[in-house]
Amino acid sequence: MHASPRLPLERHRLDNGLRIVLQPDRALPLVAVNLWYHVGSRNERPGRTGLAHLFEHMLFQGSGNVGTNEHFRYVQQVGGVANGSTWLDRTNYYETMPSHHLDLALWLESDRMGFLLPALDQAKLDRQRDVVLNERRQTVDNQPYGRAGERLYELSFPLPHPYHWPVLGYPADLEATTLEDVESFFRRFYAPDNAVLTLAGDFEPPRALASIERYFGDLPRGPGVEAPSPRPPPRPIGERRETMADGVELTRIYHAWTLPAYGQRAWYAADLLTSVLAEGKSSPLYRELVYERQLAQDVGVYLQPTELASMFLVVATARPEAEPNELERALDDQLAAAAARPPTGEELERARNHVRVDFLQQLQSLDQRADLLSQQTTYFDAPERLDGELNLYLDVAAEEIQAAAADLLRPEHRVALRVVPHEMGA
Amino acid sequence: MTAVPPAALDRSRAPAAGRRRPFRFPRLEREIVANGVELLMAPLPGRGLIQLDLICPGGAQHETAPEAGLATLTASLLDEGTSSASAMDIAGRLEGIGGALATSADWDAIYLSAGVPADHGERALEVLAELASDASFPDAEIARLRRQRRAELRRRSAQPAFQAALQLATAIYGDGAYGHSLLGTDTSITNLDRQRIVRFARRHVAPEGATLVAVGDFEPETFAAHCSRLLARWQVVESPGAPPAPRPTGDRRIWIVDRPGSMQTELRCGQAGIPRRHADFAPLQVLNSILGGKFTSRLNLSLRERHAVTYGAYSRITGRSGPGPIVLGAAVANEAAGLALGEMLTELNRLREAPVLEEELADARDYLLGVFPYELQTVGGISRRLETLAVHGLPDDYFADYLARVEAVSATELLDCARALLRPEETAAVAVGPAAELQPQLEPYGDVRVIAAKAVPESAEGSDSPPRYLTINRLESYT
Repeated sequence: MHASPRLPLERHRLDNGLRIVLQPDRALPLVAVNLWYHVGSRNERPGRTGLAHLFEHMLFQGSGNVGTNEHFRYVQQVGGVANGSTWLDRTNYYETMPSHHLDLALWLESDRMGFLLPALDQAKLDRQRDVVLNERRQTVDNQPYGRAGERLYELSFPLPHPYHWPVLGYPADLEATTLEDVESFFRRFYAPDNAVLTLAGDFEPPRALASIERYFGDLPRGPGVEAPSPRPPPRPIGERRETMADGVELTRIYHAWTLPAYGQRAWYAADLLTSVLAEGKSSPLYRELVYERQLAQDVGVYLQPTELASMFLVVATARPEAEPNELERALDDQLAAAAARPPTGEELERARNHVRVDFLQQLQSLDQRADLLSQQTTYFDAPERLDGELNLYLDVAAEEIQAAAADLLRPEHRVALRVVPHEMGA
Repeated sequence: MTAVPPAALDRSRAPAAGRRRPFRFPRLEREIVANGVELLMAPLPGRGLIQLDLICPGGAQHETAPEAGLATLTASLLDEGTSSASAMDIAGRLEGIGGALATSADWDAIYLSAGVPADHGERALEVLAELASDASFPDAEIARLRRQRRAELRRRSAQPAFQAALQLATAIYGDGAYGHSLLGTDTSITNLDRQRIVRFARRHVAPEGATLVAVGDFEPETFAAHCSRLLARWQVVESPGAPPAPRPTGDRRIWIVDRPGSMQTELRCGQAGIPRRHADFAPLQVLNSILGGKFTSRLNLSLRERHAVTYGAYSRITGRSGPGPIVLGAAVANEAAGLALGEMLTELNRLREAPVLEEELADARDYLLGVFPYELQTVGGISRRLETLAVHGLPDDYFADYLARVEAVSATELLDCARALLRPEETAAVAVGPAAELQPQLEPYGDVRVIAAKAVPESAEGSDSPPRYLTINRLESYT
């Protein structure tokens, strides 16, 4: 099989603390510009949930030298692709540009890093709040199973854990958010020393670095943000079960556990376990639950790469004719089997090969490559760790995967959420 | 680090562009390898990956409404058994090496696809050749997949976006081709017995006219030799015959799918467009970009950024061998459904009444030109481009022509194109939401009919067999 690709990398740090990763690749005349701010919904407080994400919307509403909605226009009118996203630990902003427009992207990103406040006003905030409320209806409230995700986090991370509340925020909190909240969020978190800027693609590193220095070099440091450290929620003393009625046709079962933070050795063992259990039609969960016994319409196992702790999630949708309790027992049997013996050589090889191919797939696109480099730098201050991460997976022994199933996924430590059709709910 | 003095920086205006570097579309090679199968290759040395797509033209346009779902069900059975291998044997062959196998169908073709690490191209080819020539359609697998399909239809019927897409397809195309779900209906699935499936496969999974698209890390000459050898036993069994042509109804229909208690309204409107091969497809893509094809489009700026009644509004054209749909859509606040439909119809009319502004034209043109290489970054992205060539019989220089066409387009040409192709008075509309609240808002735009939700949905692109693996709300980030 293939060794992990060696990405040529340079890293730099400006005097104001902005960390820079340069990954030249001249194959196509494109450059991905990717900026991570180390702030996410976990930096909010109860009563003002959703602020980090609403704030992200405000960053597309213009800044000192960029008019309202002009950000997208500047990028799209030259053929660029831009967006941003917010999650528990971080917020990212990115654009992939035809490479001769690199400076345009740097100008846009530096303008909103340095000069957002003069462009903020109440009317813009009110409009984006309405947009976000519609985003929430579209992706959560009006979607079958849409509220399950936030309920799993609420149950798995009891307050005051900052993963408790949804990234999109509670509607009442969004309504209560003021312009002052937005301004102070900006002053506290949006500064060069709380950010990582990655360029991947078609550029000459010395020239690109000079441009970065030119656009970002005079932006002032922020007040400093304390680096997070792993913070597992308290170990649950018993299984927490809940049933939720929703506008769905098929019952769905979610089993969630809180696991060690992304980056720890046990995290990689658990991530391989997700692949051993449920990747592809030849995996045991698919074979047993979907194919042989036909209890499930679909089944999936996921592990989230988050900083304070992670969530391991098993999800299965029941066939209309299946008895959900029987599906649940079948899921339990599969996890018990994984806890009772290490994966076979064949199972382990399949999971490892899947990870290898996944790496190659992801690194093909400049935007994903830049995003992963920003991630490794933001969380571990080590962009070269991206290249090395494949080996962290390949180093995991079969017994460690068994241990993950046996020690970390006990039924008494899980959240068991069921979403059932309305007529079946109480 | 060494600082460049920032004194000269003027932030008040956008920096000038540097010098554009040209890009090259991957070099293509074509060869007839066996029994009429054309091999279309884009070798990309050093990628470490190979993507293969075996494309059999025909697809769901050949199925009638009572047998809706036949093409996708046939496709999904291709990897569920051959004369010498079981479904699970087949699944293990590529998954064991980190590869993936997929079969699917849309209105135009049936697809067998494999993605593998570079040193396993021959194995992937063996698997595709075996499935194409020797699928056995075991009774037990047919029964199982029919049950699974019916459950899938039920699962999706709860999704407002799928209801909207499906009902709009029926509103535009009636009960002919393009008017039903590719997944079929609860009733049609029960009609799909082994005899029908086998007959469909004999006619429409055939080498004559098929293309194997190969993109990635392989040596073309050796690979072509493998293809000739492995595909030799794949023979034509039965002539496919001509498909029935879609017959758009051309009626202004406004349908409300009542969804009491719905927190939002899924709104769609649309009409039949033009075939993918039509000479005006490129200017239509420019028009679409201005109308709703990008963030800064007229529709999105109006409904999201001015009125703030949606998370996003868009328009979309779908290239099919017949006149595929032109669709405008948004999930909007319930109280804004009338306003949103009004804006959609207004924007369609505006494109017919006055030329677009030169500035808008330049933005759209330069967007489409500049964004073109973006999809060429990945093996999968290049494969999709080549699939378009293969499915629609377009020449190797098609994309060069497309880019030249976009570059040369004028506001006058777009106006002519809009007048010829957009028919706002025939636009059908569907709103999935609370009927009591929607009806008075939509009545000003035409006769409104409230209909019950169908237990038969369809994907927005209308092109997939049911997903094999779960897609949940990824508990991920929000944009």
